[in-house]
Amino acid sequence: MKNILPELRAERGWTQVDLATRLGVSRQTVIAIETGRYDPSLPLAFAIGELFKRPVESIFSRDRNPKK
Amino acid sequence: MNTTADTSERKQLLILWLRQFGLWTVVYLLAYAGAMWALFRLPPGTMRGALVLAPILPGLGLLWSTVLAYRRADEFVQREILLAGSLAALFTAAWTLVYAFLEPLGLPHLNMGFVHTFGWPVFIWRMVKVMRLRG
Repeated sequence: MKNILPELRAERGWTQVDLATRLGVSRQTVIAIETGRYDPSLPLAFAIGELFKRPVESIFSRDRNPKK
Repeated sequence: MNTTADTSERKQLLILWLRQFGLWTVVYLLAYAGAMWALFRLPPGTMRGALVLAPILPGLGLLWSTVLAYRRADEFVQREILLAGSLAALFTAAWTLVYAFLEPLGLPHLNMGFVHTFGWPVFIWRMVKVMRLRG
């Protein structure tokens, strides 16, 4: 999955730690999601959507060339 | 999603695990040294039996520290802990399979405890890799 988390985070001037704190997860989790290494669970994806006040599908999209 | 612990706790979680794991490892090695000394130097008796069995407790402490880390972790770190455990188990299984056939050909008989010296480094390597994740 691709995502625009780094852009959304940058718009708000948040660090990865700031975002992790708001989501109640570890910094490693935020890094893993942003780099496409980890696809979040549905509850976490919805929490991200609610935090940025955007639909989940506008934040995450299918990666046509996923990293192996 | 588990939201019971805040990020500052989560950030420290893996470091805390490594410290606890390290502490239990030191206690285990001391108990192991005492067990070997008792096994070869003490006459049969209650004291010898107690010292030889002593490494079991810190050995279980090693496992328990990892279980605690898993229970406190968020979804990604939990997945990584399970992955680390799976890789360690696979590596151990492969090694014991190979050695089971090498031993009859003349390689020395090893205590079952030796499998730990091959499985745990794989587990620790994976966990440290997660701790050092940068983005």
